[in-house]
Order: sequence, then C-alpha cells, then structure tokens
Amino acid sequence: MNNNLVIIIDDDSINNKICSIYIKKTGISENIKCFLNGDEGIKYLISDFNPENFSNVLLFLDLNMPVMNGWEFLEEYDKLSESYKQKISLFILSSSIDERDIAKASDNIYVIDFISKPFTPNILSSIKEKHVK
Amino acid sequence: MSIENVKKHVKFLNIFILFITALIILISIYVWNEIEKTEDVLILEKGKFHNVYLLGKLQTSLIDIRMSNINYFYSKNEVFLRKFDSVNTVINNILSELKEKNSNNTDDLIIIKEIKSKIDEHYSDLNFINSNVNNNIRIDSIYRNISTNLINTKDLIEDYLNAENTEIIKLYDSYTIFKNKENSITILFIILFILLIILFYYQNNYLNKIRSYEVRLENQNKKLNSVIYGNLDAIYVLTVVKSKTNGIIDFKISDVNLKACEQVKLKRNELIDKNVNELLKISNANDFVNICKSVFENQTAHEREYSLKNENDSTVWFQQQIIPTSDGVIVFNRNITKRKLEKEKIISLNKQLNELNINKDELISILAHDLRSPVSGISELLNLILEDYDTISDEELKDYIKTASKTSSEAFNLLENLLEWTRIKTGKKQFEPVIFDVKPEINKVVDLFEINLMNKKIHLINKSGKHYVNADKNSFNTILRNLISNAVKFTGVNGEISIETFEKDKNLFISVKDSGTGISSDKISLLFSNEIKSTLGTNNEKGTGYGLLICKELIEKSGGQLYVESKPNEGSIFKFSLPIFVINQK
Repeated sequence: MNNNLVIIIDDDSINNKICSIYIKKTGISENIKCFLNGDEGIKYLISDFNPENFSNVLLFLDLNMPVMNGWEFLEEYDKLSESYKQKISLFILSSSIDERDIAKASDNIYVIDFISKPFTPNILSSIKEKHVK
Repeated sequence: MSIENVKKHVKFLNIFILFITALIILISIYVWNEIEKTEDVLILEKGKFHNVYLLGKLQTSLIDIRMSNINYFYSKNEVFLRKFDSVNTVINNILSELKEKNSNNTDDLIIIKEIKSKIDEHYSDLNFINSNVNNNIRIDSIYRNISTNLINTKDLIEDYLNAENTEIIKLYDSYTIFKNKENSITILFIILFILLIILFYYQNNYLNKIRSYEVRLENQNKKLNSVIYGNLDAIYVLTVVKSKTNGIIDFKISDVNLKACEQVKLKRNELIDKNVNELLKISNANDFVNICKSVFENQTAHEREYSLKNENDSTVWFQQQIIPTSDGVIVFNRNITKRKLEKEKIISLNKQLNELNINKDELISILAHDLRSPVSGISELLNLILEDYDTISDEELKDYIKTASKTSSEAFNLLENLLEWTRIKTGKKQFEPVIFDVKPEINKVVDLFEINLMNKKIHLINKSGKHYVNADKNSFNTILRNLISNAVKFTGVNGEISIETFEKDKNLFISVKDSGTGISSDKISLLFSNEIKSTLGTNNEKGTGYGLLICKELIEKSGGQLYVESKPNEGSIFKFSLPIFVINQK
C-alpha cells in the first residue's frame, strides 16, 4: 500500500468510476477522490487537503463541467500555496477535441499534459512511470 | 444601304438631273435659233427669187429692144414705147415691193433705183426719137447711143444678179451645214432623254426607299408611343432647361404617361412643360435633379431604389431608371413595395431558417457528445466486468452494474425525450384525444419513481382527485413524468413532493410542488429558451435539457398552459392546466 493520492474532477460519473478502477488496477493508488465539478474540487484542496500526507498527488481535470468548469478551476488553483502545487501533477482529461482548448491548456504552466478521452490503461502506465516516484 | 447613304445618293442624283435638264434646255435654245435662221433664209430666198425673176425678165426685154432692126424701130416706134412702159411698170412694182417690205437691204434699193433712172433716160430718149421721127435727123446716132446705154443697163442688172446669187449661195451653205448637224443633235437629244429617264428611275427607287423608311419610322414611333403610354411603369420624358450662362439648371417635363399622372396625382396638362424643381415637393428633389444632370452629362443610365412616405404614412418603395436621350432624360418609376415586402419576408424567413439550422447543428453536436460518454462508459465498464469476472467481489460487481444501469437509463431517457421532441417539432406526433380520468394515470406515473424516491428518502404526497379531461394520454404521461422527474432531481434527501389537482374556470390544474433547490427569478425566463442547458440534480442526476421544453409544447398543444413559481432554496411549483371535459355537455 503506497502513499499516493489521485483526484479526479469530472461531471461524468461513469468516467470517474472507470478511471478509479484503472488507477487501482495499475497500482498507482487505492486512495482516489472524485469530484463532479471544479467548485467541489477546489473546496477540498483548500480545506481538507494536506500535501504532507502524500508522497505523490495526481490530479485529472475535465474542462466542460457545470458550476465551475476546468478553466475557472485553474484560476482558483493558481491562488493556492506553492507547496500544494509543487506536490500536485495536474493533467487535463477531456473529451474536447477543440484545438483552441488544447493550445490553451498547453500554455498553462500547471498543466503537464492534455489527455483526450477515452482514458486507457496504457496512458495511465506511462503517467505512472514518469510522475510517480 | 443606310438611310444617310440613300439621302446622299438622292442629293447627287438631283444635281445630275438638274445639270442634264439645263443641258437639254441649252441645246433646245441653240436648235431654236438655228431653225429661226433657216426660216429667215427661206423667206429671203423667196423674195430674192421673185426680184431676180422680174429683173431677168427686164433684161430679156432690154436685149430684145437692142436687137431690134433699126427700120423696125422706125416703123414700130410706138411698140417700143409700150415695151418701155411695161418695163417701167415692173421696176415700179419692184420698188414698191421693196419699200413695202421695209427691207434693210438698201443695196438692192439703190441698184433698182439706178436701173430705174437708166430706164427713165431710155424712155425720154425714145420719146425724143418718136417726136422727130419724120425729120430723119441724127436718129442713127441717137439710136446708137440708146443701144450702147441699153447694153450698160443690161450689164448693170447682170452684175446685180450675180451678186445676189453669191449671197443666196452663202446662206444656203450655212443652211446645209445646219441640216448636216441635225442628225447628231437628234442622237444627243435621245441619249440625254434616256439618261434622264434612267436617272428618274433611280431617283424614284431611292425615294421609295426613303418613303418605306419613313413608314417604318412611323410604325416604330407608334410602337414607341404604345410602349410609353401603355407602360405599367410611370414614365416621364424630361428635357434639359439650359440657362445662357450656367448650363443645365433644371429639367422640363415634355411628356408623361397615364401611370405617371396617377403617381403624382396631377393631370397631364398640369405636368407638361412644367419644371421638375417646381413640381417636386419631396425632400430629395435636389438629389433627383442632380442624378438627372449627371445621367445627361455622362450619357450613362442610372438605376436606384428609394422610398417615400405616402399620405397614410406607410412606406412606398420605388425602383427608378434614368436613361439619357439627346436632349434630356427619360425616367421610369416602378412601384416595388409589394416585391420589397416579400423580399423582406423572405429574408427574415431565411434568417429564421438559418438560426434554426444552426440550432439544429448545435443540438446534434451536443447530443453526440452527451451520448458518447455514457455509451462508451457502459461499454468499458462491461468489458472490465468480463475481464475481472473471476477476481471481482460481489459487492464490487453490484456497484459496477448499478453504475452502468444508472448511466444507461439516463442515456435512454435522453433519447426518449429527443425522440418526443423531434416528433412534436416535425408534426409527426399523433394527438389522439380521449376522455379519461386523471387520477389513475397520475398514480401510474408516480409508481415509476418508487425506487428514486426511496433512494433519496423523499416523501411524496399524492392529493389527486377524480377529474375527466379530453386529451392525449401519452402526452399527459410524458408531461407528468418530466415534472415529477424534475422535482425528484432537485429535491434533497428527506425532502417532500406533493401533487395536487383542482378545477378553476373550466380548467383542470395539476401542480407538482417540491421542497428542492428552487430557481432564481432570472433563470426562470431561461427555462424555456432554445438554449439547452441541463443542470445537475441534488444527487448529480443528469438531465437532457429538453424536459421542460417538451412539457410546454405538449401542454400548449393540448390547449393548456404551464406556470412556474419558484424561490431559491425554498422549492418550486410547476403547474399546468388542461380543459375539463364536462360530461353533461355531450
């Protein structure tokens, strides 16, 4: 049992379920937190999250969500303390194929990569190799 | 051949004909002169011959006298004297004839007078002899003297006769010269006449051409007139009015058709010869005159559309064509208000269609996206179950299946609503109104939500009563299902939903009240807009965004109305009406 945390922020609950199953199967972490919009995600990060407790934190963020979408989430995320952000490896996980979204995501300093849905175990394995110590 | 060329030819032929006619006249004058001269010759000749004849006779008599025997002379002296008397009479006759003719030929007169004096001399000599005949004195010498004198007189007459003859020959010669010329002059005359006839023939041809051209022109003119006067466009024929110093200043109306009179509501004689600037009271009169000026100056046609307010204050549209002529412009005005309105209608319809089409495109892309996630999710989840079937715990399996089931029912709901929506929109939905009691139908729909209600621990109070309506049962079920589904969706755990029915003003009202999240007033107006936006429920239930739109359409088609009352965090009431079916009416 490792000490990793995975946060998934997506309004698509079945996608969250499938992601969770894959993450568990790849052995990245058993500790997975799912949020259905950016607002819920940022609230968790501000109030309940402590980076000291985890060795690696992966965050998968969808773009199109009700209440607070991915871009709005990134604006709020920017205000978090550096120690939080250094711990977290942030990925965009979206079904958008709009070039403007992809370009905008790659311009953002916190975004490591843009992953197009559907999510596959292969992508997850390569992420594990690169970003999980 | 162009008409200008024909006219040139006619001009040339005219000159040629004049020339030849002048030539014929000149030749005629010449011939007339010559004939007159010939007549003179003939008259002169006749007179001359007469005189010569008399003189010849005289000469013979004189020779006769001279040759007479002297004896005979003696004995017949009186006969001689008689002979001389007759000679004297002849001479007197000639003289009187010449005087009578008032002849210019004085030479003849002088000679004849000289001969007469000679004869007179001989006569006195003879008288002298006659008185002394018995004396026999010097008669011989006198007689000899007379004889010599007679010979002289005879020679004198002979000389005169010779001179006369040469004169006659000269005149005769000139006459024969003219006679010889006569043939060639006749031929010339004939040639000239033939030429004249040919010229007249061509002239006539050309004149015919001009005449037929004029007839054609006349016909064209008639057609043009019917084009102008019978035209359905208002036509104004304008002529430039030029001032001496500044060039064009205005246009004068030189002709108008009936439509034009109708358009400006003036009579024809009120328009003709009036200046445009005086007549036009509209604000853009100067514009119009300026356009006419530029059309005339550049000799290029102009087309424009303009609008006017008529007396009823409605806008009238005109299409105007201004065409340049050599001395002004022709203005064609066509009322295109109807066409313009139709065009505007088409444009707005087209805009609507375009918007609808864009909406449709958006709808399809949203749908494709909305359906893609659940279907791919279910498929992946089922694959996972298959893969891990041996190792997976029962609890986990149940969880997976629950997720898949929930997702698939959401996707199905989406498709169902969409189908309903398109059937309403394309008019394919069949409304089959039947008379039914709403209570059992409401109960049936409420039963569908048993599990959802249990999951969220929502208390549902059904206060529906027995009411008969005449409506489509399917539509009624769809409306109610959507409203209850919304209420369940937005009501939190341990919340309450109540369904009530009541009659008012011949209408049945069915209300679904919930204690859910409620809707802020600014968002209520957005509920029925075409911008489809679904909101997640209190348990993150996904919607389709079509539910309320479908309800509204169906209710309105059934003759009712949908009402919404809501306050944020207090809950919402969705209420709809349907016309009541009154049994004793039938």
